[in-house]
Amino acid sequence: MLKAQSLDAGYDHKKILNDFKIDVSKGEIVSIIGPNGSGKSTALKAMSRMIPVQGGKVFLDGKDLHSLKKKTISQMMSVLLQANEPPSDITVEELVKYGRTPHKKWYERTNDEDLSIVGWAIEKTGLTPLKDRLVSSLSGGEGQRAWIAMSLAQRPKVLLLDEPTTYLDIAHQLQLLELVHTVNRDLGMTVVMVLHDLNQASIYSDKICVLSKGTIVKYGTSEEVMTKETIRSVYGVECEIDSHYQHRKPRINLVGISNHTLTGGE
Amino acid sequence: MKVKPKTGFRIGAILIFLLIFMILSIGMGSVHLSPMETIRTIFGSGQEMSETIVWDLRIPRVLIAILVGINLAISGALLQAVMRNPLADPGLTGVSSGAAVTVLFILLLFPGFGKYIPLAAVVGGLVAVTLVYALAWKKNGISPIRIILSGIAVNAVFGGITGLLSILYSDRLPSALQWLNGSLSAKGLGDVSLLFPYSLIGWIAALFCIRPANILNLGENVAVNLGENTNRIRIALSLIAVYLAAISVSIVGLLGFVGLIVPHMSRFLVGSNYRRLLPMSMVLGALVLLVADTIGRSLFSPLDIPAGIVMAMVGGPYFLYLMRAGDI
Repeated sequence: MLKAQSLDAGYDHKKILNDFKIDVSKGEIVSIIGPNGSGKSTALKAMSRMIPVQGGKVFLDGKDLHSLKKKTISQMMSVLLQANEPPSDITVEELVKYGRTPHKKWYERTNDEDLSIVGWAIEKTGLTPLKDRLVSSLSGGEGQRAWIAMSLAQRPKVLLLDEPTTYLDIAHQLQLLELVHTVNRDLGMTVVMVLHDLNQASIYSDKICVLSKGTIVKYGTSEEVMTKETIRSVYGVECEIDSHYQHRKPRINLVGISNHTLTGGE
Repeated sequence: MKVKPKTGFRIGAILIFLLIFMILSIGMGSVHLSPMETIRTIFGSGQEMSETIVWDLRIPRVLIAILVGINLAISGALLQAVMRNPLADPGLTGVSSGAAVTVLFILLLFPGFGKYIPLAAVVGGLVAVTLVYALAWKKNGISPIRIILSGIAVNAVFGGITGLLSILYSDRLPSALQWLNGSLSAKGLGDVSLLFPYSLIGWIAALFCIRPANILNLGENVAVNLGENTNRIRIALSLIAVYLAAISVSIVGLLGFVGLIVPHMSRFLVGSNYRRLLPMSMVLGALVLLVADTIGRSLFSPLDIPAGIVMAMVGGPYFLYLMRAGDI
């Protein structure tokens, strides 16, 4: 569904991402993890045309992203980055309505079908009681859900999320990941997201992509990726790994910082 | 929490204010007419002398104030959408000073080519804004802060050229001085019929900017995600803004702050959605400039203070107030 072929990307002349290869099948949830500065967000932005690529190609549903019209891309793929600043006086419903833009010609107005999709997106994200509230007056978790509702109203096949749980408390983090999970399961929506929390990545992803210093260290299922050795070499921390009693996925228990990191060794 | 102010009502209220003020303004001056006399005169049943005054002097001036007020307000509102910055206006981005240089050039060097002045103004405005954007351009597009910085530089250069022209041709300057200060005096119905069709084209174009402007307001990333070509939208909106500002400059000269203050006041009254903000800016722009010009010509009567000077004296403090209020 979404495929990156030896992607290089960065800002100005600095190359942050090297030879990034990933092939996401339809209906999968893939998480990109890695330490700060490892190029996680850069990878997500490069795949979603938010930053220009310096080399390599991205394929969306088998077609080169560069050969597709901007509007066509936005009908198939929605990307939600961090720190969006909506106009201070926009309501939840108004914001979500903008999600229909990719499906409208410039002269077309919102019709009943759009309204029912907007209503559905708002309901799916649990925002129905808040739909007339100003987005700027919502809490962090509610605000994030409003943006996701806008993405859902786009009815994309692929949803890309850049650290969707950052700045949220634990309950809201889980609530959001459950929402992502539901959307994936009910609509078959393919999801690629950047996450910080290893356990959340382990539980909620079909596959995990581990980045370090701009290159992929490992790409596979939670079981394949989440090993003591990988986490030691990528993050420089020691951990114990057991199985989550409910999800049957690897659970990472942090023990401490690796010795060689403390002494500054490589 | 207020959500939906009765915005249609507010736009209508300002429109009624505008109509009332038009009648009052037409009646004000060395020959004073009561509102009833003014209305009678407009509809052809007044005295002959007041008819001449009203039709030859007052109505053209009022209409020019309204047209220019609308144009500058739309121009500012569009530029503010382009830059997502409430500081943007035709003055700041160099449009006005660029247009002023080319108009002054014609006024001083080729006075016989007066009918090309609007065209020259648009060219000058375009040159200025192209320079500003070229300087502000980085690989990924246009960044607002760089536009503002390069606007300062380009304004300085064009301001310098204006000064240079004024000194080199100081003997011919008096004829251009009223114009340079943003004066609406000595305008006839000819100026109105020159400006109106040009303006109307710009207004119609501006109506098509409502949706793109709203989408830019959501932020760069969101606009790209929604499939918009953000740089193309910015260029289109800028072109319309330059056009409207330049044709206005060509008639009334350097008239600042309308494009800055009016969209801000409108945003306060009807919110940031351009579906309401643009119509509100239009009626409010007309009202603000009409009030400024009426004050200018009545306060020290018979002296005629250019509306540009009134706007600068009111606009400067308002600008500081905006800054202190933390809106910028």
